Amino acid sequence: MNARGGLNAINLAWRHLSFHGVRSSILILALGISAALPLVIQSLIDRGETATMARADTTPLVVGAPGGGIDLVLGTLWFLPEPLGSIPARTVDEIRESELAQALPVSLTARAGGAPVVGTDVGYLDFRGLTIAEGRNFAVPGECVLGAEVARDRGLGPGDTILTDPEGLLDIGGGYPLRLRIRGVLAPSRSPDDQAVFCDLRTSWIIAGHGHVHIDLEEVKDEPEVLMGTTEDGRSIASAAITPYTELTPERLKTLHFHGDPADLPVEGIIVIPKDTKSSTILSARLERRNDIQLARPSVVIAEVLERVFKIGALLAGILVATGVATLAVVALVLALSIRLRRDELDTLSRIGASRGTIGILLLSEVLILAGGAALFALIILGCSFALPDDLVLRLAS
Amino acid sequence: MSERIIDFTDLRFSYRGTTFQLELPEFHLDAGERVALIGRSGCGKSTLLDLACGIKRPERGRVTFTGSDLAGLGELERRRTRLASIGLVFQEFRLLEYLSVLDSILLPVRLAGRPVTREIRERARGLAERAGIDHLLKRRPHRLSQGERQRAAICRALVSAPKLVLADEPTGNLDPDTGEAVLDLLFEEVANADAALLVVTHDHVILPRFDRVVDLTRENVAAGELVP
Repeated sequence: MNARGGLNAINLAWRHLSFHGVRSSILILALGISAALPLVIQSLIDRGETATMARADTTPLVVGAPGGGIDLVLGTLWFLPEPLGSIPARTVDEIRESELAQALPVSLTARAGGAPVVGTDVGYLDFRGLTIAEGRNFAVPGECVLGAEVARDRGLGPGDTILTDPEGLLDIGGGYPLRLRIRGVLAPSRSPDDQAVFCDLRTSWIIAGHGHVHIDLEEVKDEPEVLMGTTEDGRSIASAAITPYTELTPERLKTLHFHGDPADLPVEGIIVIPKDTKSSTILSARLERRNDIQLARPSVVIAEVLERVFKIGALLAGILVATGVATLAVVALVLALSIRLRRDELDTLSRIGASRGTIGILLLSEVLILAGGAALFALIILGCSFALPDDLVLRLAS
Repeated sequence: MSERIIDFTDLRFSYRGTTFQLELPEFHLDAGERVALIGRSGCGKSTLLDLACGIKRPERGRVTFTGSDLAGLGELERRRTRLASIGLVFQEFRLLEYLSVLDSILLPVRLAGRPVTREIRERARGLAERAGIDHLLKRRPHRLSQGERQRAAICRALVSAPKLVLADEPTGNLDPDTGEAVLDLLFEEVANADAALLVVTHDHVILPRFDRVVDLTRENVAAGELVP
């Protein structure tokens, strides 16, 4: 058989596969997915691990209420919605006063439009390397800046407002939603910060009901559902109507006050950035001695979590490999049955004079074309998985 | 004098594990000759066709094709000889479902690894035109009638301008009128090519059209020289 004969056999193989396009496509998809899935899973786990560790590695220490270190780290670094215990805000001051580290409070009591509202101070944005893409940073209670994705998904920007989610619609004694004034939008950082709303710590306390402002009824005299009327001596009478939300205007901020010493108000986590290794050692020793707080090292905690994930991932990859082998066996069976079904066709080719080599190339070409198609499909799937942004990988992983 | 195309001498063939035995002291076929092969089922008609084209090799005796000992050739050479010089027509047409009529006709050329030149393509089209299927060249077999399929199969058998055409009950699956038309085509094209034609058939109505009729189960039915 000459080269042209071989090419003609390959051509016949191609025509046969094309004629049975649906069957060929199903075989290619089945093989491709079976081959790609273990690789994609492994790749996603690796990338998830890298991205997760990167955030953990850049956060030296975290302080929070005693309890599970994983919840504390996941809450403080990834703003996960699971409720965390709290510690008094004075702990932040104590760490700062030690002059051994920078302390950034993280309060996670509320959500706005489903996004976590992170009460902190302006130093947090610097620490994470977050920059303002539009507008300016928050400065006073009632102001906020949006993570890039929150702003993009909701079509919001500087000058707009966003309402915090009500804690309980039927709890008239609970905190009212707060209408936050958006002062800026952060540049995308491909991190959980893109999906959060950042505000002053005091704003978080107000949302949680630890502080409030007073509304001058003169402001709302045009709102009959709020202002019921005035007495004969000119005093305004407020109605019992429930306002749908509260807004902190500059006038109202003058009346802002907290119930109790702000140092006693809660924060869910504190990000601690020691000045150097020595400071870290000293501070860690001090903090670890205390029973009222918990000190966690995110890199250690996350490494433990990832180790578990890795084991599960390896198990999953093993299962997928086994599934792939089973799929391969089924495909091989399909091909073998196909050859049996094609006995007449192959016999015809043989009788007309096709050599065994030609028939062999014909069959082998079909297998190789299917395998090649499957490999290409697997590469496309793998390529698509590589194109997924890290933060999406993290979200998929979570 | 016509060229001797096929020549069987002192032929003997049997299948292992069966009582079947074919013995043929002498049989020949010349260029331009049209011979019908008849006999009861299982008497060895199709086996004889396989021996004539080198698909099977005899246990004893010689099968000479255009002067060469076909049985003495290796497997690959016999296949090459088939592709180059022997056309086969089957009762069940045996067209490949995934090839168009034109590609089906050109199949032996491609299997032989020969280039499909414009000349060969024109020859294929010419055959199809004479077979009355030139308007169906792009169709696949499942969209053809039985008669059209057999015409395509005949064109396939003839595309390489074979010296010998072997047809195993070519009209067996066709109604009488279609069978007659297909046989007309086969005879005409074989005559055009000056090829020898050996047809296995059970249809005694068509026997008068052949130069010779050989019955494998009886002696000398009509100019036959075979001993069963």
